[in-house]
Amino acid sequence: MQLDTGRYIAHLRVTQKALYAYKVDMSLSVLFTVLGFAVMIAVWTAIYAATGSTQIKGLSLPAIYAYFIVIGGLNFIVGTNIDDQMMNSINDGSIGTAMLKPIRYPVQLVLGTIADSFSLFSVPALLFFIAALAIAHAGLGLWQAAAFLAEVVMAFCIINLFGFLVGLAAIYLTNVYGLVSIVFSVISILGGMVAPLTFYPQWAQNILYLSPLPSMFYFPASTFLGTISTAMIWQSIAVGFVWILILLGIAAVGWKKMSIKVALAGG
Amino acid sequence: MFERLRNAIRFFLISWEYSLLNFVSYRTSSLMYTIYNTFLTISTFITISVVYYVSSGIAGWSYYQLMFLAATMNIGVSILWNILGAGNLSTQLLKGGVDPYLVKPFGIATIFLSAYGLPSQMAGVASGLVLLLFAASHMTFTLAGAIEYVVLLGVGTFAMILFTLMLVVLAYVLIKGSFFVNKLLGFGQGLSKYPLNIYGLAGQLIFTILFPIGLAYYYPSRAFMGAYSPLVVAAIALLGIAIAAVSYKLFYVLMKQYTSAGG
Repeated sequence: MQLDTGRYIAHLRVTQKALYAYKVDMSLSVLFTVLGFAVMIAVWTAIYAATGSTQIKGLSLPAIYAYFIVIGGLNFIVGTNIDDQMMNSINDGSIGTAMLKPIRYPVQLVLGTIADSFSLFSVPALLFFIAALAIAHAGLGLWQAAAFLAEVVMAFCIINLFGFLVGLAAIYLTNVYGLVSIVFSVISILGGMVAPLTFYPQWAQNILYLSPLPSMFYFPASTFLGTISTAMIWQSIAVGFVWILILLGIAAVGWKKMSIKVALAGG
Repeated sequence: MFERLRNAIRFFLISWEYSLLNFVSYRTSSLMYTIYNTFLTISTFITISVVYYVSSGIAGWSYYQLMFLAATMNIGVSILWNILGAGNLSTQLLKGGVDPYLVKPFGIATIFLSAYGLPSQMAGVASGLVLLLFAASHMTFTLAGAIEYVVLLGVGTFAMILFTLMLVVLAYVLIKGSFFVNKLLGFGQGLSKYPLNIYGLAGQLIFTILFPIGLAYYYPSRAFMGAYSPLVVAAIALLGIAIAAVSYKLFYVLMKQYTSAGG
């Protein structure tokens, strides 16, 4: 079977162009993401100053700065707009025509989210990662880089599978913004975006490490900065991989059932 | 004048009731928003608890005092959203969707504040209030402090509402952007959960005067804790009223440049 990559690239380009059209909104989006993490840095600076200790749970203040900068970088590339794409196309009926295109609808969604996350925001993300290494005075070994890359890809898959499942719910709920907000707030608070998970009580960490939540931000950031053991990295990859399989299975079954409903409703 | 004000308030309440009925008619969706807004308050509780679990927190602020400040922000921002859904208004200005409203016999500010509220944020007010009472029950405070708190929160929230209204039109005039104000408010929500002094003197001034989110939530909380003399409280309230008045005036000046979707 010959893979026709031309049409996929064409679709990616069209999606990218549509995104570039909103330059000011996009630049502001980057600016406020940066400012949001600057707030976290100011807060943790004040906390370290008040605590009077150079380390909290083994992390120094520069390590915390580096952690939030890596999280900021990850925030640019580990994202999804699949939920948005699905909700809009279900609500305005354009899913009907989208399903007639020569590229399967789920693939269109994946290309749309790749165009959104990787092509546009990979440059600021890269700058964030370099800044984090400089602040933490850390190097990045080959094994560490490979593990980080694997974890980023897995994080991207997991967050987009969540996005797909939430998007599927739009067939029943019409407006899924509430659900999207719940899911991403949970990811933010329990995935390590507001504090490294080592700051949480041990019982909470034990539960969270078995969930897909730390795979999206905490594990990639900690691997990048070398603040977790090799055994923990392997565990994170294994747990993340199992979750991808589980979510993929649910997504496949869900899509099979839901796509019939879309067709019945006339798209 | 009072008749006009009475009619404007009546129009606002009827419009808001209509929005509320519209919101609850989508039962599952409204349940999701209620859970989400409640979860935002819970996440504030978790974040502050984690901070105080691993450290001594922020200098000069106890666990409950910081919780009180964050709850105040939750309540204030939720009230703001309840009255003005900034993102929705921004989008409608760009699409010309506000035009049918402009023929109504009320001021444009009254119309916008009546038509673009988000009752979905009610749960944010309710859950924020629960967190606030929880924190306050572990704090010592005076009746005078509580009154000053209510007055400053009222004035500050009023100033923030009019400031946001002006900002929406400013964003329309300058950048024709629909996300800017929402992004800015989201950022403000994050920063005003914490004491303003951690952002340095420059940050404190910016978030008091230029972007008065601190004025609305930080100073009322400090007043509750008895940090200010009555004179300082009066000065803060006057600053809030001045920001509200300037924002209101600017809003009408900027609205003259509204060209609908065709411009």
